[in-house]
Amino acid sequence: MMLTSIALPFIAAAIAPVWLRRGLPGSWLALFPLAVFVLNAGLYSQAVSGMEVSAHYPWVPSIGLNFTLYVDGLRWLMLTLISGIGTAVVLYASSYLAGHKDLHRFFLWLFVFMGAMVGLVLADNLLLLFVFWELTSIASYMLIGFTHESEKSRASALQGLLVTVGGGLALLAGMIMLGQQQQTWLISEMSLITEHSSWINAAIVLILIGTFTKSAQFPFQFWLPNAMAAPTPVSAYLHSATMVKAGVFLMAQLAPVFAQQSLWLTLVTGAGAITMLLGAWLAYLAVDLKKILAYTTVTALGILTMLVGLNSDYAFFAFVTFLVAHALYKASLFMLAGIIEHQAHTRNLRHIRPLPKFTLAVTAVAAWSLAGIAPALGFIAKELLLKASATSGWLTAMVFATAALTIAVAVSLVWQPWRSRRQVKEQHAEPWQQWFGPVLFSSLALLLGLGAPLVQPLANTIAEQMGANNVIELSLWYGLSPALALSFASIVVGIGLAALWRKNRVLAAKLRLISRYTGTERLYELLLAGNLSFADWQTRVLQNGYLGRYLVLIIAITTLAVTSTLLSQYGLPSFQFDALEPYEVGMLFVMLASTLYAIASRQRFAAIIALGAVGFVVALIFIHFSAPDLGITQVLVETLTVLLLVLVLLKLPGFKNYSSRGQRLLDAVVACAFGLMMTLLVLATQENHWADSIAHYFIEHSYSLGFGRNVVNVILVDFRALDTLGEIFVLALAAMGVYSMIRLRRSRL
Amino acid sequence: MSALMAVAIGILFAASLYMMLRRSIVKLVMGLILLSNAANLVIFTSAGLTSGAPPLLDKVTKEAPVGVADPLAQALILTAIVIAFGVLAFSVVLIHRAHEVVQTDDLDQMKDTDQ
Repeated sequence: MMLTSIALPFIAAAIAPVWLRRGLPGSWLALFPLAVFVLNAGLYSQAVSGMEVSAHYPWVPSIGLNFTLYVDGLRWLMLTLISGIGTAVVLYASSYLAGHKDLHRFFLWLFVFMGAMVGLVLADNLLLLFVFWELTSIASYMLIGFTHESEKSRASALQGLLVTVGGGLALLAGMIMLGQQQQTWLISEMSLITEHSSWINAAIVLILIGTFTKSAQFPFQFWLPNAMAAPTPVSAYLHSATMVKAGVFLMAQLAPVFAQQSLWLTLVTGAGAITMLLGAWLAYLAVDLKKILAYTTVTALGILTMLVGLNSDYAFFAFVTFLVAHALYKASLFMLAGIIEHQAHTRNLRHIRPLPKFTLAVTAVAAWSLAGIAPALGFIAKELLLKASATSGWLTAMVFATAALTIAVAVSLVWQPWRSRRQVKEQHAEPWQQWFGPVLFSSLALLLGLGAPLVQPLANTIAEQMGANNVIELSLWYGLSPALALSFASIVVGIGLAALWRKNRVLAAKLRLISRYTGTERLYELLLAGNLSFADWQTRVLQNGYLGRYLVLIIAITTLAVTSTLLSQYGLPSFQFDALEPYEVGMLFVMLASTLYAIASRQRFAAIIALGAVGFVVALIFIHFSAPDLGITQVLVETLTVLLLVLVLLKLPGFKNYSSRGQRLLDAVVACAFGLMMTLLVLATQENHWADSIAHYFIEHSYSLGFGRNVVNVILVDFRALDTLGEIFVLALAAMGVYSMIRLRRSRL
Repeated sequence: MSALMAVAIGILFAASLYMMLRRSIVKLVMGLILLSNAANLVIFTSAGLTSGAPPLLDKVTKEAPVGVADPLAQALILTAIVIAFGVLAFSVVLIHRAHEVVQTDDLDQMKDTDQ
């Protein structure tokens, strides 16, 4: 069943392009996520009662990578949001992007993303989870860069990819460290870590880099607002309800494991709190509708992260409530942003035109939830959040400021179009597919506050999994308390800020510019630019096109590496003189003298003859040391070589001294060092007998199996006949090359 | 002899690399020839130098001579010699053609793909 849930979106991804190319309506594709939703709904009772549903399919058992799937409360909730919101988003996109030339590509990646996300929240195996984690990053890259004709869109897509995949790399390392410590890859089998060690700390930091980048936590928050280059349905789905929640989801899953690690608690709470306030502040400064929503998403992710780190009963219940509330109102707000953009012909809240009453009403309902005012579910979440943060005065102040700023943004979202005096352009009605999601989700977000008991069982299960000890009743009325007073005060301050919204836009634009050039995004840009210029410099230095410099570098590095290894592992080989025949010394003397002459000679012809002499001495050496076949071959080849060189090279210009004296000296030193290394190596091989030769097999069987008395020949044409065939093939290839170079001329082509 | 051989091989390698580092393409090819000779001698020396006992079986007894030379290394070198010749023939024609097209024998003038 769980496997079906993962497979369905991928099947949809395969079908969608064909389906759309045939011109069939895209709305029908919403049946796929709907089927996942229905399948998942069937698991509700098991998920809530804490009965674990799991499935296991071996994939690569040798490294512990298996398709181990698992459903608990949080996973069930995530899956419900992914499939439920997914259904609405597919419906919305089928109408919103209808007629787009690349619609099939859009749906392909949307469904790949959906499948990856379903897999991510179902995966119990950390490694499997990582596979899906990276797949969501890739799908997100394709979706952010959907309008790839725009440079901004491509840059945003790349930024999202680099940040999330870079974090993913850290995450993988952290996961492996965690898996080693826990002796299991299964999240469901992991237990509380009580020890404190640098190993655990390193794992925590690495995992958090992964989750912080994915969930856009400070200092990685900057990629999310830029991801708004994606088409609106993508923003509604990936960048509000699902993908960005992956990091939060993983942190929530691992919260019980790290509950006693102060590093984890401090980092998670700290980053969450900073992200929360930063997001709210930037949302208040922004004027672009989608940017505003993106920053409030950053705020929401900060709140969720902070709640994981606060690690208390109130925090866990606030986490569940806020997770549901945010997914609902944010998805509907984003879809509304698309509708508003069509109707008002702008996304700039300053220049927005009056909206139709229905649009304004639905927006108001969604904004009401965003503001977190009773009876919305967000109100309960905010009250619990204030209670959870009451442990520290600083946190309370930050939450209060965030709440006030968010309310100011929510009020502005409705107030600005309401009071707009601009000319109304002709407006077109949006089809039901576009209204389905916003209307359903915004009313759900509002009404679930009243229907909080419906969420209660699920909240209990999830909070308990995360480590809550007591059940907290979800209710709109907890009695008079400091939290309620703060909640009320934040509304007053928020409305006050909203009233100033239009007046302080000039200041806001300046502040936006300042934060643009002092924020962490600037750091990202500098890093990226630095990386590029380093690559540029390195290419210019290493890949300079001068063959000689490549060779010198390669030879020098090889010499250093081999010599140092030889001397450190083995020591200096000894040099032993044994008996020498005069003619042996004579042969070597002739060979070396000819070699030196070939180098030094300024005449090509003399050099070629000297080279030939070297080759013939080598032939003599072969013959003298019991290798007649080699001797014969060498003589033949050497003769041909000399002929060839004389025929061809004499057509080329004579020797000239191209290099400077210093260059020649350097080359000589490098070449001599390599020669010395080879001498040492040969001496070392002579001193030692590392392995027995397998030659005796060939000698013994040469006649009995190969029916030949010349063992070398038998090896070549019988035992290793395939090698010889390969050799013939190489020669044929060389011959073809030679022929084509001589015969084929550009003028004849 | 083998110790002296090691020294000779070292000198051959040094000479061949020095030639290959020259800017003239003709010298590059000459270095290549020296390099293949040197490499063959390394394999030959590493297998042990044996004089007067080639790997040929007796006509009657079909026995190898006592202390026979390693036939495997010889087979290897035989292949290497032939392949080296193939490479050489190809590169000689290649530099000839390159000289025709680029009108220079200086490697440093051939560092761009654009003419």
